[in-house]
Order: sequence, then C-alpha cells, then structure tokens
Amino acid sequence: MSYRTDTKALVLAVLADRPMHGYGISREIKRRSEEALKLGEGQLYPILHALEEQGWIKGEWEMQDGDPPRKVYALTESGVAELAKRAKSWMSFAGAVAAVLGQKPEAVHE
Amino acid sequence: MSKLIETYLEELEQKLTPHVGAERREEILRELRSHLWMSRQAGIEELELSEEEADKTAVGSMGNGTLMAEDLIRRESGQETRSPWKLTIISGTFLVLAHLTPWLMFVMPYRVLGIFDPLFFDKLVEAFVLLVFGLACYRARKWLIGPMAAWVLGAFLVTWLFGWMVAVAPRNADKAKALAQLDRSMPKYERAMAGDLRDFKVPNGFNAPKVGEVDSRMIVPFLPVPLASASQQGIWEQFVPTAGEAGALWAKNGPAYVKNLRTDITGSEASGTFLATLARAVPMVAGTFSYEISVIGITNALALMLVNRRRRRKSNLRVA
Repeated sequence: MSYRTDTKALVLAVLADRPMHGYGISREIKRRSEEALKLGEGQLYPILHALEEQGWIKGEWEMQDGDPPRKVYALTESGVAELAKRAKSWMSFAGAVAAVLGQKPEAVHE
Repeated sequence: MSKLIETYLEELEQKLTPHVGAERREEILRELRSHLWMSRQAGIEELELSEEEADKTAVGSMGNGTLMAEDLIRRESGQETRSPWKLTIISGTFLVLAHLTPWLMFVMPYRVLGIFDPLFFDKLVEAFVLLVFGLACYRARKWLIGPMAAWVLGAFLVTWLFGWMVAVAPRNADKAKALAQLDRSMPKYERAMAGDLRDFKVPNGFNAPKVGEVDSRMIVPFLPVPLASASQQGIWEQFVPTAGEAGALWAKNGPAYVKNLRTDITGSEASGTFLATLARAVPMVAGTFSYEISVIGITNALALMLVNRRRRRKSNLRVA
C-alpha cells in the first residue's frame, strides 16, 4: 500500500532533538516508529545532502579513535522553521485522513 | 575494514567517478564507510552476528549499489532539482513544427505533395518529440502535469489556428474545375503506366510534378479536414535514391492517387463556408486534443514504469 510520505520531515524531526550521524538517524526513525517505519539506508544520504544544500541542516566531521570519522548533522535555524512548517502541514493532512476514516486524531497514534 | 564493505564502496566509487568530482566523491565515500562500519559494529555487538554476517547485513541494509549510485549522481549532478520545463520546451517547439507540417498541404500544389509527404515528416518529428518528453519524465520521476497541460494546449492552439486559417482560405473553389483538372491528369498517368514515359522525360530524367495538373487550391476545399492525403494512396512512402526512381513511382502510383482524390472530391461539399469549416474543424481539433493527451500520458506513464521497475526493490520509506 502506498502512503504519502515526507522523509525529509522525518529526518528533520529526528535531528530536532540532537545532532546525529546518518546511521543514527535511520535507527532513530525506526525506534521512534516502533519499527513501523524503516528508512532505506542507501536512500538516506541523498536526502541528507539535499537538506544540507538547502541549509536546513549542517554537517560536521567528527574524528573517532580507531573508527572511521563520521559526519554529524545538526538542525539549523531555517531547518527548525522548515520542520515546523512541514509538521503543521502533515498534522493537517493526517487529521483530515483520520476524520474521513472516522477516527479521532488521538486514535491514529495508538 | 571488511573486504565486503570495501568492495561495495569500490563499486560505488566506480559508478560515481564519471559524474562526481574527486573531492566530493571522497567525502561521500568516507561518510558511507563510517555508516557501514557502525552498522557492522551494531550487528556484532547487539545482534551477536559473526563478522561475516555483520558485513552482509550492513551492506544489505544499505541496498542496491547501482540504485544508490544513481540517486547520489542525480543529487550531485543537479538532475534531481533540474526543471523539466527545458526539455518540455524543446519538445514543444518540435511539436509545433510537427503540427505545422501537415498544413503545408494546403499551400502546396498536390502534384508536389505527391513526392513530399508531410504526414511522414509529421510522424517522424512527433516520434522525436515524444522521445525528448519521455526523457524529461524519466529524469523528473514524476507526472509532469504542468508540461503535459502546456503541451496539449500548444497542440490544440496550433491545430486550431492553422487549421482555421488555412481551411477557410480557399474560397470560391469550383468543384467542376477541380474534377476537370484531375481528368486531364489521369490519361498522362495511364500512358506512363503503359510504358509511355514521354511526359516524364526531361534532361534530369524526372518531371513528374509537371504531369499532374492537380492544384490544392482547387481540391482542398472539397477534401476532409485536416488532411485529405490520409485517405490517398501515398506516392512518397519510401526514400527513393534517384530522381528516376521517384519518377517511376509517380508513374506507378499516379493513377490510383488521382482516382482517390477524384472520389473524395466527387462526394464532398466545399469547406469554404464558415459552417462547413466549423463542422469539419471541431472533430479535427477534438481528435488532436484527445490524441495528444493519450500519447503524452502514455509516454509519461511508460517513463515512470521504467523508473519504478528499476527501483521496485526499495522505496524511501517502508511501512511495516
């Protein structure tokens, strides 16, 4: 079944809590959705690069002892605003779908 | 670092090399390497997998390398954000030309049209146009509703405007004169068929246009809009390398061509009046409209099918 998805919003939402690397982001989406949503890891990087190019996130390299260096992404101010905009749009959409399905919005999250 | 992971990254690098600069490529690969490394470590520590199994799991989670490289290339080369309008405008320009070509029939004498088939060029150009539009759809990976609407509107306007102007233009045509023209031409073709090629013989060996006296200004008003020639036997249905061969084709097909024209004209009314033109133009425009919608819709759908077929194995987000 196909759903409307906004992968960029999911990534921004995860980064709203704290800076994270790509692998952490994909795990966090999976964890928060209780494994209902699985972001294809290979698909994540083009999305991260797009978000970075748009200035919504910023990546910085972190050196690791013994492990390969990793790039950690953090939300920028414009990213926070974009997330708010997308979250509002999504909630409005989800509420409308829930209303049509005869569900209360709370029930959708259960 | 594991051999499997390095092999995966090497293959990815090979695909990226022609499209992505060395520095940027290095950065991307470094990031992916760290991802795969963390994924591998998690497999070993959390899932208690062997190193080999953890490598396979890490690479498997990253997905098909070819498709991933394709996504990265689209992103890095700007294809992902490139407007599909540029290709649409290119294809639209050719579309206008394609739609204009058939109308040449109305301004060219029929005896010339016999050796220059505008319908052939129309189809040829349209095939090219659809190819370009299909490429735009493939690159955009979505339904190009705006460009499709612009395309159909363009085809509609071109067909309507030119159809209207040209179809109305030949006024006061005399059916008797048109039929007489054809009747004068017919014996010459029949003589040629019987082997008497005097009418065709000129210094360069080809004088076919002079043989027929058919004049589009006379016969077009009596023929179905938009193109009478669709029902005619085309003479120029293949490329002929020499003028002599073209002349032979004329001699061979001329009588049938003229006969068909005569039959069409005999049973038809002139389209030189406003109502007659309107009656013929409306189905023509409606036909063009629906044809264009179907053709570009199918082109767009095929391009998307092609994209999706390659990418069916994975989507951005899977819902359990």
